[in-house]
Amino acid sequence: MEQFIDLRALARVRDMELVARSVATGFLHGVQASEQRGVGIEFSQYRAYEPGDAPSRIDWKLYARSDRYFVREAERESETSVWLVLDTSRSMMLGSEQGVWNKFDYGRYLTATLAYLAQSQGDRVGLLTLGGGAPTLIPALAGTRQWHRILHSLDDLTAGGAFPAHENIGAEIARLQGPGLVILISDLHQERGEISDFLRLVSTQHNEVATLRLECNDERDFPFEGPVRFEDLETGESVLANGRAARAKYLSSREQWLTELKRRLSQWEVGLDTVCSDEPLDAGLHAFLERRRRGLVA
Amino acid sequence: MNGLTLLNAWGLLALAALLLPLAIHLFSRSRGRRVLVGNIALYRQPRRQRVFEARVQQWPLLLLRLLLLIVAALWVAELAREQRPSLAGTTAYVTPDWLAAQGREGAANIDADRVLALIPSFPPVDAYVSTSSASGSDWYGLLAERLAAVDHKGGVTVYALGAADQFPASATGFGAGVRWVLATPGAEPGAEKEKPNPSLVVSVYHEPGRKTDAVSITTALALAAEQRQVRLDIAMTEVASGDADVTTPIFDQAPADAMRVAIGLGVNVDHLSATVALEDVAPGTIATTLQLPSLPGHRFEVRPAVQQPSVDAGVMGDAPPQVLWRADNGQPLLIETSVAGGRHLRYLDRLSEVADSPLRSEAFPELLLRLLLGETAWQQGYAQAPVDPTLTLSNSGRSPAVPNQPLAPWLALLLALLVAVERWWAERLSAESSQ
Repeated sequence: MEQFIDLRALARVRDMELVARSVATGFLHGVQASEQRGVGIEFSQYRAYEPGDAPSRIDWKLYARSDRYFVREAERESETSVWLVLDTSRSMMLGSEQGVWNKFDYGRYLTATLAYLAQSQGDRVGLLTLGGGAPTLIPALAGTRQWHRILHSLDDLTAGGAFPAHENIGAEIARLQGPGLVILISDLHQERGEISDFLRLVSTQHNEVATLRLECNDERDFPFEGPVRFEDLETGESVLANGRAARAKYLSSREQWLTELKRRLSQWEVGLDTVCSDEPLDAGLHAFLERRRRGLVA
Repeated sequence: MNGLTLLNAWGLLALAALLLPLAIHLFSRSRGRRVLVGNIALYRQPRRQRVFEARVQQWPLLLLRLLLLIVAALWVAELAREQRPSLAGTTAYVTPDWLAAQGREGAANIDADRVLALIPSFPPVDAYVSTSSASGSDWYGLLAERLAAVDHKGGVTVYALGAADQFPASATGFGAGVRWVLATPGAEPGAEKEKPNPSLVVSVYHEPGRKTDAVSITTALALAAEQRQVRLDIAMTEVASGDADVTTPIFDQAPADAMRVAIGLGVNVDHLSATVALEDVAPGTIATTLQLPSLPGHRFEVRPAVQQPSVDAGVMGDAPPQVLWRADNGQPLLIETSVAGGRHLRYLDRLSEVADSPLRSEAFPELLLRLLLGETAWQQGYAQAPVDPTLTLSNSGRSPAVPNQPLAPWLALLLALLVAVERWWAERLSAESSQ
């Protein structure tokens, strides 16, 4: 995919459904050789029972004929539950000074596109938004109507507050701990480790957790010069610094922070991918999906 | 800006642009640009170099930028250097009294490329036709303006009468570039001397009962001397008797060049050529005829106030007398007549303590000084005469008027240099701060 859809062009088309379809169609026709999964279980082979296998998987008829325990294996699992978790804290309102979108808008459209991709492949898609207000949870279901529900929910979203502490979202976390894929779309900026706690708790043996970290060009390149007063979007805390003088220190701090973040996420087997909110939607998504397909997600 | 002028003074309004970098500097120093971030923790570490430190580093840069704007404003205002007309070769200036005393022959002997008269328009002495007797120090103003307006490439020599020693204190500002040749009346011209000390030495003698008048005269002289910037050395002596045998030795004790003023003494001034006698005498009697060393050729007469008929009849002069001063009732107090080319000033009142005494008049100090210095009306015109160096040079046919020299090319060069330095400095600061 050489031609990505320009962010500015997408910004002019504020129709989320149209944007998500446009972005996702490219993958469905190109990169992601989509294959519609069947509803039932397709038999693959038998293998000998091993301790730890669920007794329900034992083929009792074959046991009756052979007097041995065999476990029936399917070639593919059933449809996957894809949980899209969108960070709606106030820090997501950040965008580059020269940019078109902020992270929140970018994240909403990214979520819509991912949801479309998932439902197009027959997966069940659910949505959880976590920010300053009450969490919004749409249970995972399959189908186009579900996608529209998600679209409406995303359209009504507003950013504000901080990411909730895990004590306040225990029920939502429990839902995500089941089998399926959990994709967190967030800037991963946290004040007291609330996002880390969330990921740590969500990640279980039964699911796969991936994070799409959103960042903008200003965060990556630090183009500021002269006296600058940096003000935190969530806490309001401000720091005065000289732009040019602070650049090297900032980049060093950012690198340390990223390294530590990767280390901790890898402990919990949580994938981390970075998407720039100043790049076209399909560009970031393409890289993310391509790495997932190749199993390169860290 | 001595020697500099602005051809477009409105261009200085561009100096208002100085407010811009100042405002930016002060504003940014206090607040800094606001940038929203998502994770403030990443920005705490770079805080080591505070904004204040960076601002301090940029103060010299700010000054450089202000200087740059000032130069730009001067460029817009069309700063130019005033070009003074110049006179090459030696120049000699001759005071009118010197010319009157020495004559054209004396001026012809002056060794200079040009000999100009110190009167308005500075004509060559050949073209200066008036030879009437003149004295005073008013040509000092002319000389000062001439020296300020014209760039003399060669030497400047001033020829004046050494007797005309009424030099104002400001005359010392002429500097060492001016050579003075002071002649004594009747002596050979060209005898170079040091510039005389500007002073007026006055000795006042009075009868015991006329001390009040003496004090009044002294005070008036002091006041007049201050106004005219003349250094005054004045002494007041009480003389018991007016007899000539007594007063003459006393008068002789005064400095040789002193002006002697006798009040109420029956002085035989025949023996004292430098005495002004102000005394009460019988009506119709000429009390004093005097000559002052500083005013050769001038004769002063003091008479009582009953000479009104003779004023109208012109008794004392060939020409009708001119009333220089009248009392409030119209009675002449001081008249001037001309007799055989000399001036005769007659004081027609007595010095007394009456209500309408001239001593109480505000004009009396100046009048008294004029009486002593012999200033005339046409000499007073020096002070009010407009002096246009271009006009005077044009009249004297020496050199044409020179336009001002614009400095725009130099300012543009300086501007470019400052811009280059400013850029280099700014980049250097940026490089240092980013390390």
